[in-house]
Amino acid sequence: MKNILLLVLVAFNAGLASGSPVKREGFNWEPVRQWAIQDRGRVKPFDTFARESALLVTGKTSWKGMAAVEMVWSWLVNLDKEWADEEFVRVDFEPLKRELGLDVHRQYFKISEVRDLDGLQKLIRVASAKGSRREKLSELEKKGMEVQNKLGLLDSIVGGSAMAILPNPTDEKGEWFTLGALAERSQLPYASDATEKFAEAFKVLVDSYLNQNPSAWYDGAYQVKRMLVSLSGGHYPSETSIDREIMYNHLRPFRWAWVLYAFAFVCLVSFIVGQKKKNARWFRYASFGFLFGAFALHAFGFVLRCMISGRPPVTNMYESVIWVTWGCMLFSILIWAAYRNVIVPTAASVFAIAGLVLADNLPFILDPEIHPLVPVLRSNFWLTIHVLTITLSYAAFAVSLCIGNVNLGIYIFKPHNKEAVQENILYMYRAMQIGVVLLAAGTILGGWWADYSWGRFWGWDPKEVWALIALLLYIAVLHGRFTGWLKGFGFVATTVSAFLGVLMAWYGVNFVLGVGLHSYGFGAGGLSYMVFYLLVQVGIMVFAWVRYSQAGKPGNNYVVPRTGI
Amino acid sequence: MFQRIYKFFASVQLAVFSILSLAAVLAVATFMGSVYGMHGSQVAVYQRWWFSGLLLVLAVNVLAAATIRFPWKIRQTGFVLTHLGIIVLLVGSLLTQKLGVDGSLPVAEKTQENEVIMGELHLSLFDEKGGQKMEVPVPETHVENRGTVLDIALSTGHHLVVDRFIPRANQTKAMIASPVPGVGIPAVHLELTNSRFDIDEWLQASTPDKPTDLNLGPAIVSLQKLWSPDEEKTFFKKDAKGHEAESKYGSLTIAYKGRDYKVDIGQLIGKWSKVSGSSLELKVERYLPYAVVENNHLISKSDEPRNPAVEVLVKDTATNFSPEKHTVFAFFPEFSTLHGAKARTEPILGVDLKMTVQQQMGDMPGMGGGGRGHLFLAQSSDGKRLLYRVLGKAGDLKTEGEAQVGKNIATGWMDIQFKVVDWLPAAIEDPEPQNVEDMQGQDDSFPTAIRFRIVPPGGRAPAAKADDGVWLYEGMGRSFSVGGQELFVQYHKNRLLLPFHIYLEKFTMGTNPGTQEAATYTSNVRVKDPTASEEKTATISMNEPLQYGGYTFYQASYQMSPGQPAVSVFSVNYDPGRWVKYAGAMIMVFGILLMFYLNPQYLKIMTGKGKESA
Repeated sequence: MKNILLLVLVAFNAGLASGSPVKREGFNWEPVRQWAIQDRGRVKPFDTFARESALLVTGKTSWKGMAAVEMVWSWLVNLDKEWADEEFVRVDFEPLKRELGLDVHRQYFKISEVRDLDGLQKLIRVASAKGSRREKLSELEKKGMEVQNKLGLLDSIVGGSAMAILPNPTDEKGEWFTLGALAERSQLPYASDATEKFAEAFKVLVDSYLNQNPSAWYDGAYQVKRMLVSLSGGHYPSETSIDREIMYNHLRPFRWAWVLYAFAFVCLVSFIVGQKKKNARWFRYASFGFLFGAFALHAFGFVLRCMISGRPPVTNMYESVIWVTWGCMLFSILIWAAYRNVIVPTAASVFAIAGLVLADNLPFILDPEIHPLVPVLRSNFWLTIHVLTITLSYAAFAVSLCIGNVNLGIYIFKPHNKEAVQENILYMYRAMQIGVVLLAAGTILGGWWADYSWGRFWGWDPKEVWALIALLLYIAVLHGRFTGWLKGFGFVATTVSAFLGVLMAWYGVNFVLGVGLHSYGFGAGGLSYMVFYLLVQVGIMVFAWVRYSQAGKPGNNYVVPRTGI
Repeated sequence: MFQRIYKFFASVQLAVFSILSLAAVLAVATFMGSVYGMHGSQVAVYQRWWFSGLLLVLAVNVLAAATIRFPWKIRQTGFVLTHLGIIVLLVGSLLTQKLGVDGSLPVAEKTQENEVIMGELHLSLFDEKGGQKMEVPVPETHVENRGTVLDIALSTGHHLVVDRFIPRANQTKAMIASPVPGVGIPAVHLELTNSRFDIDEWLQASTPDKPTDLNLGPAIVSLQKLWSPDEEKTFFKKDAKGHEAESKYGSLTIAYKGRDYKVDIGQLIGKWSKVSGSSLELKVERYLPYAVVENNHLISKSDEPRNPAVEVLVKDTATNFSPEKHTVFAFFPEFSTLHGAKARTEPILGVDLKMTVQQQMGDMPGMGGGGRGHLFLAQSSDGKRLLYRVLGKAGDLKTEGEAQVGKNIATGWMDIQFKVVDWLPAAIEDPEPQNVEDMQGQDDSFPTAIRFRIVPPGGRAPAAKADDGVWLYEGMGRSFSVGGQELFVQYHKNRLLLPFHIYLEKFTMGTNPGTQEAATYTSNVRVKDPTASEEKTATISMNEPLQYGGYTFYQASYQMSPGQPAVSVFSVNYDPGRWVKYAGAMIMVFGILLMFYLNPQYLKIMTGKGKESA
């Protein structure tokens, strides 16, 4: 592989000859984390770039005790040597491994094992031919391209073309220069001795790493950072913004939020089960402590992300999961505040935990990276309002789904507890009302915004059609309730089923259908999780119906309060 | 009787039924959209009469449900408003659909345009004087239509019959035998197989001095046409690059004044030598097998060719300019090679130098490393034989000979066999497009295509044959003579002429920092209206439309191709239903809010004073 450092700096041979990476003890990585790098349309801390790169290649943000930033640095300097025999390129998809003749039981492979596979080259050839014809790629081809992207990223780190750390001195939004560009340093728009000094400083830094000299390393990394700042002509991102993003990377607010929600859930369940016991109120206090703590942290993370990206973070699936789970907790807390029944936040926290755990653990499906906005979404107030409103309606429907499942649970375990079911149906109904208003308003705002942007109020785009279908399904439930067709169990079961419309509008259009104007949010994967959820949900529903029938269909004459029709 | 029908249309049962039917139809339509594209789903569902019928039933239902409860009570305000809002919204949509304009207007920089491209497909006929004879709409389908799409009677008694419609046409790379003798190039349909792959491609030859290489993963395949028996002899001497063997230094390719030259570096070291066929002279000053920069000097670290580079002097003997100094890196072809260009007072020659070395073969990122085999095919000068020569990864000869159509030939490397499925000494590309069954991306990815034939008077349309009829893609035309008349047929989207022109001054595209991704589009335009006293200038960008003469112009997209002026595409819109729709939407949302949150019973529930009522 062509190593850019071979060219721009003195060649070095100090690296260990063994083909396995070794963690260097005593090195302080903070200064390197704080370098800024321009990567995929955004200037970010090197820390973020390293985490994203490490995640893409290995699926992890650390490797054998090395932090992401250490890994990426080690790739830059030593990929040919220390990483030659390391199995670290992640290939997950079993059919792909079978196709390529790789060991299906292994998750990680050496670069050399995947690079020269004829099968992979063929897949990519077919996929790129299909891509140029704009035909759909098969799952196998998509996964093959992912492997190719991993190798491509490693190549561009080593080759220097991904390492755009030299700031553009004239244009704040202009293109930064890569380490690779140092090979032609006379072409760079800096004073010639400045680039020379920079190359020298970078070489010192590399040498101190290879010679295992932590203190020289620390000084060198700061020296490089100072030089980068002075090269930038005043355009270097502020320390506050860099530190904020590094803090966001390391705090992991959404992970802590779900952990706290989980504590809250356990305490709430304990409280509900042992309500009549003497010390139950302590569980109550603890649970609300955890609940509000988690909620605040969740909100804090969201605000932090807004500040980093400079926009409301609701433009990809990951961000919408964060937002919808937060909205779900918000509505559950509001309904709890109105009716003082802890079952509402208890049920809702299950949804929040599930959503945040998925967001935390499926980076390839729910991409946590912060991307720049596509043109159509730029500087548009209505987009923000439209997307926030629609996704908030999903949150409200999620609350009614959760309480619906509590009712299904009651039908299974205590089918004669009519009072509890009726109470819960009221909460479901309230949540549904919030959802219907928000979804109707949000869809119309979307039409309004589309009309304003490209002159079409309604264009039968799949995303808007599915929002309409979800709305129609809930409206059908409301009308069914009005006719008296849907009483206790029927109302619960249909409300829970109507959430399928929300799932399609939210997830399905982007990940299953994959067409239309909302393509900026498209992704792939996760279908198995969705199918698993649907099967479990249907199972619960059928079982609840059996139990409810066996119990003689109690509460079937009950009709929820109705509105002014 | 009327009462019964009225009650039926006002019933909640019908409401639930029609709501669920609509939901089901919409769901199916979105899945169709996933396969046939958004436009396909429009053609298949949303534009059909029965879909409008379904919406009509819903509208009648909504209206009847509201009117049957007249006189309304105060508490029904929300309910009535919601239903009224839906009716107004649907009426507004109907106005838009029937009276509105929704088209696109592409304008090239420094030109003006007033022809709006609308959504309907039309077939237009013109006579030889350019006068329009007729224009008929072409019925669209979301799948391929092999029936009689159109049958137009011409004044001569002939019929113009359109017998195929392809909604997403994709021109195949397949070749067919040339119908005209003496026209066409050699083409081979080749199959490459081993236990792990199965490649099937059409290969076409280009000029004899530049064989087209087709990169088929494990192998590079090329086909050439030989012009003389002499060339057949040299064909059997080809090495891995199709040239005489190179020295260990590699070679330089030089692009100069539109022509390519190639010289062996070994012949240039330390001495000036002429590039044959040009006025250039080259001299390699230094060969650096392992080039690194040290203290701002380029030196060679060792004799191991790990990063080969050369410093080369170039001069054009036709000029008196002093030689240019270039540094060329074999592995970094993207670097500019000329040194001291800024300081140079004389004109720059403009040569483009690339260095190739033997071991680089297959070492490109993203390609299969470790080298690939070569399969050279050539058509003999008499056009009667197909010759082949197979070289292994290392450039070693594996096998050679004469290929027979339909016979498997073992190449001798990687268990690969090849088979010439079909060989056409003179071929042209098959004009018949293939319909793309499962597409992705935006609707404009594929044009539609039709095939038409002229049927003589009294004659019946003959059965469709593969080589019969003329294919027309959207935007294409064709002239033909029938009954002594010259006619011109054009297949296009229908047009709307605006009473004024839009002149595009300038189109600019902003990108995300450091990428080629578009971030913003802006068009500076002038409206050229003969009825207006002064020209209006405006800037149209995403989310910033221009309103003029009742029309609204939105920045929709752009087309940029090298050497061409930028084209900005506006979407042009006239919508008489806009404010009706807005009013309906607002009434509806207001109604829902009233219904849910401002009725006495709800207030009672909120205060805990009453809970249920039937």
